This record gives sequence, structure tokens and C-alpha cells, in this order.
Amino acid sequence: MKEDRDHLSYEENLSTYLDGELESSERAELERHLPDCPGCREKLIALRETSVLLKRHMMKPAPPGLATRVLARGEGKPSHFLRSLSWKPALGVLTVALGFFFLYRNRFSKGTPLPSADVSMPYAARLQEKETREDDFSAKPKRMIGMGQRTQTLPGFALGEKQSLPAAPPSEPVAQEEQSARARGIEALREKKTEYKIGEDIRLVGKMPITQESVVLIKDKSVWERFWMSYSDEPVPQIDFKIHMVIVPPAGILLGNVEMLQNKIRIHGWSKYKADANTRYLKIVPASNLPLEYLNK
Amino acid sequence: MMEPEEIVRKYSQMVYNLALRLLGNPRDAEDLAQDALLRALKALPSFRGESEPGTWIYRITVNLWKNRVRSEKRRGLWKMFSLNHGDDEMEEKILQIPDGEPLPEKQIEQAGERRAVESALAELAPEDRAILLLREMDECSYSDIARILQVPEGTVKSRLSRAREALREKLEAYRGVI
Repeated sequence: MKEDRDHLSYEENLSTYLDGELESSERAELERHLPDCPGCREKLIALRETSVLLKRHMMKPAPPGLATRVLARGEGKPSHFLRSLSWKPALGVLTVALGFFFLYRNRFSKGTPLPSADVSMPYAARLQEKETREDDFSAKPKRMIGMGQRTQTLPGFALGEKQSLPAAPPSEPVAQEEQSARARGIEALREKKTEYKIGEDIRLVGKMPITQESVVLIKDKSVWERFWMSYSDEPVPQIDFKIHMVIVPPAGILLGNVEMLQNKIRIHGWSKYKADANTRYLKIVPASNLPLEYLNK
Repeated sequence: MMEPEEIVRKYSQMVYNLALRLLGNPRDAEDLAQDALLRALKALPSFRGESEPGTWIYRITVNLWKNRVRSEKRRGLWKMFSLNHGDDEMEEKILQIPDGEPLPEKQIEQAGERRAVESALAELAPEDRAILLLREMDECSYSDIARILQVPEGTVKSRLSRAREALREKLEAYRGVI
């Protein structure tokens, strides 16, 4: 109907009217319409409130030193900021080279062992622990080194810094019992049966709508149990948080396959996913401190 | 004509925010912002003042972003959703719940306006976020925004209207927070 079409055009013009960008004739027409239309008045108020919220929260501070770095580079002065694009390949090589240097120099010392693996290490590295760590901890590099972007550093070891390692212990062979116990522990970790595998989904059907809107990452068993029991009366799925963690996506997002990359964990997913408000599909990912990257399909 | 230092100090925050809203993550945004500002400095001698300096720099930023997107598409990378992050964005988007803390739901319900706005923005297309930023934060005219994004003015008008409407609807979903 003509009236509906006209009203639609009034609604469409509200945003432009708010910005003072309407042509004078359209503005006059809308201003004649507004006193008689509570719907349009309410919508205009809501648009103004949205505008206020954006003005209040949209601007982020620039990274510290951005302007200084730009000016320094613009004037051709050497920059202390090593992340410039043209330096990235060289930095990546340098980072890897330094990493290997500090790792492998132990081979030429008296066999000082590196810190043993802990659960904060990347998942893939821990799974390979058995093959790569017998009695020589420096056999292979364990650290995931980002190529010029992000360097994963284990406690007590910083790439590029002078590292004073503990003095080598008196030379004695690692006890056979200790060695095999370590191997058995690693094997047990690897073969430990958990109810869920990496990349698997856990379907959470809540007894009420699941209102949580942000992404939640759960790395702890007691937190996981409390989270699950706050929504569901079903038995809490058993997760081994030594090697796994759980991602709870926001509403409208369905998480897909998981990729373990050198310097991040990539998760694929779909937005605009229509699910009922009581259901959410949670994703099992490897326990890690690597950044998570989400790719929307 | 503005001096280089004046240009960089005046526009670096806005250029960074434009890059952030286009790319969705702070690390890439910082790279893009730095590139854009450097390119602007290099081209400054040939800038004849046909537009406001800001409009000109923002257009450089958008063009560099478009080049990056084209390059990523060629390399088969998918569109990056804003959950792809460096540190501070990660802390906003992904909550790590230490033991003993309140239940996640209560924490999220207490998140506040800023999280609601960020979550709602994250669901918009990069260009829509850029249009909102340019209009709301820099009060660019529709014609300037059209010049920056190299689209017709009518497109700016309709995209801005739709983006605000979409944002309004999404923010209503967070009514308990706002």
C-alpha cells in the first residue's frame, strides 16, 4: 500500500535525519510526520541512544609510541620498533636462529637439562615428548616460535636475552628408573582416555535459555563443573584439562574444525547460525596459551 | 600545509581505529595504521589540499586495507572474524575464568556497555564498522565517507542506516547489561 511505502521511506530517512544530511524537502516532510507517529519517534530516540553509545565506546587508544615510530621511520631514523613489515622476514630468521642457538648450545656444554615439559606447552609438542626426549632434553626444539610475529617463551627462557643456565650437574647418567617413569607418564598422558577428543563438540542443552553472549574459555575442572551445572542437570562431561580446554561460543556462532598452527590455534565457524536459545555447542580444543583465531565462513 | 609531525599526531589515533574496525584485531591494525601513516608522509609533498587531510589519510588507509583483503583472498584465507586477536582484544572477547571466581554467566552479565557495544560491532561487516566510526567519531560528511570508501553517497546513506538499525537491534539483546 502507498501508505506503507511512504512510512518505510520515513523510517529509512531517520538515520540520515539524525546526521543532518537530509535534503530540505525530505527533512520538512519527516518533521511533519514525526508528531503523529510514536513509532518513528521511538526509533529516532533509539538511534540517538545508539549513537551516544558508539561515541562513548567506539574509540580505542592508539598503541603507545605509534606516532613516534612513524615519525622516526618517516625521517629515516633507525626505529626501535622491530615489527616493521620490511624487517619481518629477517626478524623471523633471526628469532629462529637465536632460538636454536640457545637451545642447541646445551649440546656443547655438560648436558644441562632444559626444563621438563609442563602442561602449558603446546599440545602437539607434548604428544611428541616421548619420541624427542629420552635422556637429551635438547634433542629438538620444543618451543613454537612465531615467525617474527609472536614468540612463545617458556618460563626461565627468553629468546635474544643472555641466558645463564644453571651449572651443569656432576656428570652421572639419568637413572634408568627415572627415565622409564617419565616415558611411562608421557605415554599415559598420550593414551589417556577422555570422553572427548580435540575438535569434538559437547552439546549443552540448558534447562533455561543460555544467555551468555561473549566467548568463554574454560581451562579448569571446577569452573567447568560449575558452568555446566548452572545450565544443565545432565552429568558433567569429563574433560582432561591437562590437555584440553573448552570454548563456549557466543550465541549465533557454530564452531567448526580446529587447526593447531605454529603460533596460534585456528577455529573455523559459522555466524548467523540459528539454534534454539537453550542449546549451545561447545568445542574441545588443546590446552594452550597460544592465541585463538576465529575464521568466519 | 600541515607538517608531518602535526599530521601524524593529529590522525594516528583515528587511523588506528579505522584500521582496527576494518581488520578486527589490534596487531594487524597497528601494522596497517603504521603503513598508512608512512605512506601519507611520503605522499605529503604532492597533497594539494583537494580534501581535508583526514579524508585523504583515511582513504589511504582504506585502500591499503582493500589491497590486503585482495591479497588474502588470493592466498585462500577466509574472512577474519573479530575473534582473531592479540592480547587485549582476547581479554575482551574471551574470558578465562580462574578458579574461585563468580560463575561465568554472572561475570558476563556484569560486563557492561562497552562489551555490549563491542560484541554488537563485531557482528557487522568491516565496511559498516568503518562507516559508523567515520560518522560517529570523526563526524565525516556523507560525501567525505563516500570519497574515503569510494562508493556512491547513496550507498553510504543506506549502509549507515542499516548498520545503525542492526546495531540497535543487537544492543537491545543486551538490554540487561545496558
